[in-house]
Order: sequence, then structure tokens, then C-alpha cells
Amino acid sequence: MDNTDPMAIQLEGLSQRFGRTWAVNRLDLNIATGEAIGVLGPNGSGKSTLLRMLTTLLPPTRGRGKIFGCDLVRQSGEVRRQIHWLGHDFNLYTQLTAIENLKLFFGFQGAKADTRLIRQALEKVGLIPAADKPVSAFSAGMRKRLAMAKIFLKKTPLILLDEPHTNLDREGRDLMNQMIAQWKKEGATLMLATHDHSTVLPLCDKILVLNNGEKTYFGPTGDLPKEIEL
Amino acid sequence: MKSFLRCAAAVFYKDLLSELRRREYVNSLLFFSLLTIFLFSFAMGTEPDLLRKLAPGLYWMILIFSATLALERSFFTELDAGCLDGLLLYSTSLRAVFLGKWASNFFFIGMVQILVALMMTALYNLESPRNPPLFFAGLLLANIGISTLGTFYAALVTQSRARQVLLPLLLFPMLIPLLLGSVYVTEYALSGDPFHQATLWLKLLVAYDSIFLAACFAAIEPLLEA
Repeated sequence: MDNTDPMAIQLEGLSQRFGRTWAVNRLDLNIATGEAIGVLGPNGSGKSTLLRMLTTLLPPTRGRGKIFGCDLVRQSGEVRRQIHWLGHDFNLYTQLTAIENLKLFFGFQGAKADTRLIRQALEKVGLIPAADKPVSAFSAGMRKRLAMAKIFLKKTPLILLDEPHTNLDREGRDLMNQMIAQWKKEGATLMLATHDHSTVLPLCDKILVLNNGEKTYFGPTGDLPKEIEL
Repeated sequence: MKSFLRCAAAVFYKDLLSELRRREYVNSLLFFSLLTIFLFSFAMGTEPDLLRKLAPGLYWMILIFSATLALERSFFTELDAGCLDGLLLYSTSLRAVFLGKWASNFFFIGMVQILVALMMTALYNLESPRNPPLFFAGLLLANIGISTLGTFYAALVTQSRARQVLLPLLLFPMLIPLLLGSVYVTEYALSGDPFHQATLWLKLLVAYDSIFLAACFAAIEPLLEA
């Protein structure tokens, strides 16, 4: 998780247009390495679109962005090596078991599967009893936990979480909060997009508020003005 | 190179294991092939000489239709639960993903090739090939070509709603040289090739495979990124 670049994310006029609608419009942002940023805003405010652009899966319509100094478009391969993304979809193969999915995760990265690490990750997310069951038999919450386990297998300096608490029960939410605190302690830069501000405010150093794709606030969590509509 | 091959092997293993557990894909392929063999025999009549004469052409027609069914699902299964995003984000190389997909398609098509050949031999009362090495060389080279172009076009149309129509529309015209070569090689393998005429067709198949394997391998990365 070591990254010596002082800036984790640098965005200049980053924009994304779908048809006639600007989902994200002229976003300028500088995020230092090791910061935890909460991205807040109502549905359709551009939170997921922003995160998807940061993963490089969605090229920006205009503007530029850098992740640890690597350009989002021209150096997408380098960017991808430094990020982990937990979105609405969990990238899981339902015919395969939990263990097989995690082994595959190593395989896709060209690495030999580390069974001990896989067991540890499954233990952390409380899925050891279901380790050999096919994912098709998992509930949405269990699938999310399995997707969370992947983050333990690939230590990256930037972790992007879209609606991290969705589908999780109370125990799962607590686990997610603990994990976020741990990644932060380990020096990872975190970006959490959600519309539920009460869950992320205690976890984040700074808050970015988006509304109709535009930045309405970016600053320390404690300075968030009360009149800002969340 | 080691990590590249590991990634390709992981994709291949995943496709194989998923199919072994699901079985819908192989079963539907086999039933489709069997049904088409029957339909052709009803359409052509039961004249054994005619069926024997038409066998190489029929064999490749049935095979290309069946292969299209298999190829269409090749990348489509990755759209489930955002698995394609996972491959794009975490795989060592998109070329390795292509190689893995190519290998699984090659395996499934190869299986169908053997089974259709056996079923046709039994149902059309065909004799075994007079030149088995030539017959298998033809199968192998044709399979390489179909898997290569098929995997490439399957990746191209996978996000399209009309992919079931688009795939054959794009693939079939490109397969014409391969189909031609394969039919002749099969015919010479079945009925004998005293003047070594099959060599020319084999050369065509080798050239076809080499060109498209190189071209698809070079173009797959920007295609999947798009």
C-alpha cells in the first residue's frame, strides 16, 4: 500500500455527459494521499459516475484526472494497478464457490492463489462457514461480504467504495466501518460515495458534496455548513 | 509471461468449471446439433450416396451454426454481476483474457466437432475417413479459425442488445474462406486424395488462421476497452 506520491487524486475540469445531461460537470479536486473522502449527494447527483471515471472504466467526456500522478486515460493500466473498486456489482461468478471466486481473483492478476490469505480474508468477513458453497446460494449481503474479502487480497493505495453499506445488515455495516478504519490506518486513500451521510461522516476526513453533477462543497467534515443540502 | 499465462489459464478454468456446473450450454449445443443432423436427413431424403456426397458440406454448416450458439455466450456471461468490469480492472492483460476465452471456445467447439462427426457417421451411415490425419488436421485448423474470429466478434457484440443477430451477420461472411477450405479438406480426407490437392487448402487454412490470430490478438485490447 506504499505510495510516495503526495497527491492521490488530482482532477481538472473532469466532466461526463450522458446524452444532453452532464452527470459530472467541471469538477476540480485535489485529494492528498491517506485521506478518507466521503462523496455525498442525492440520487443522480453524479457520485457513482465520478467513481466510475476514477476506476478508468468510464473515460471522461472532457477534463483531466490523475491518480498518483498517472493519467486516467493515457495510463489506465497503471491506474488500475493502484485501485480497488467495490461498486454496485460485485464481480462474482455465481456458479463458483466463495473460495473459487477468490482463487480466480488471484488468477486474473497472474498470481498464484494464496490459500492461507484467502482463508484469512473469508474469516474477516465472516464467510468461513459458506466458503465452499456456490455464490448463487448467497444472499445479497453475503455477496457483498465476499466482494469485501477481495480487498484484503489486493492491497492497493486507493480504495473506491460505492454505497459501501448497502445490502449489509447491522453486523455487516459494523464490519465495513471497521475495515474502512483499518485501511485508513494502513495509509490507504479512501473514497466513499453514499447518499446516507450519517454513516460516512464519522469515517471521513473530508466531504465532497455533489448536486446535479456540480461540486457544492469540498472541505473538512467538521466544517460542513448546515445549509448544504445532503 | 508467467503471469500472462496464469491469467489466461484462470479465464479458461473459470469458463470450463462454470459450464460443468451449469451444463445448459453444452446440452443445448448437443441437442441443436443432433436436431440439425436429423432435419438435414429429412430434407435431403434417405439416399445414402447423396448423404455421403453432401456430408462434408453439411458437417461444416451444422458446425458453424452450433459454434455460433456457443460463441454468442462467450463474453455475455461476463456481463452478469459486472464480471466484465472485474476482468478489465484486475486482469494482467486483456490479451490474456482473450487467450483464455479463445481456449475455452476452442475446447467447446472441438468437443462439438468430434460429437457431430460421430453422430453423422452413425446416422448417415458414413465410412470412417480414408485419411484420418488429414481429417483431424482440417478439424484443428478450422477450429482455430472459428474460435479466433468468433471470440473476437463475440467480444465486439457482447454489449449490444442485438448481439444474437449481429454475431452471425459479422462472423459468417468472414468465415467463407475457412468454410471453403474446411469442406474441401474434409472431402479429400473422406474420399481419398491421390493427387494431394488437399495441401493447397491446408495452406489456405494455415494462412487464414495466422492472419486472423495475429490481427485479433493485436486489436482485442482497444476493442475491450471501448
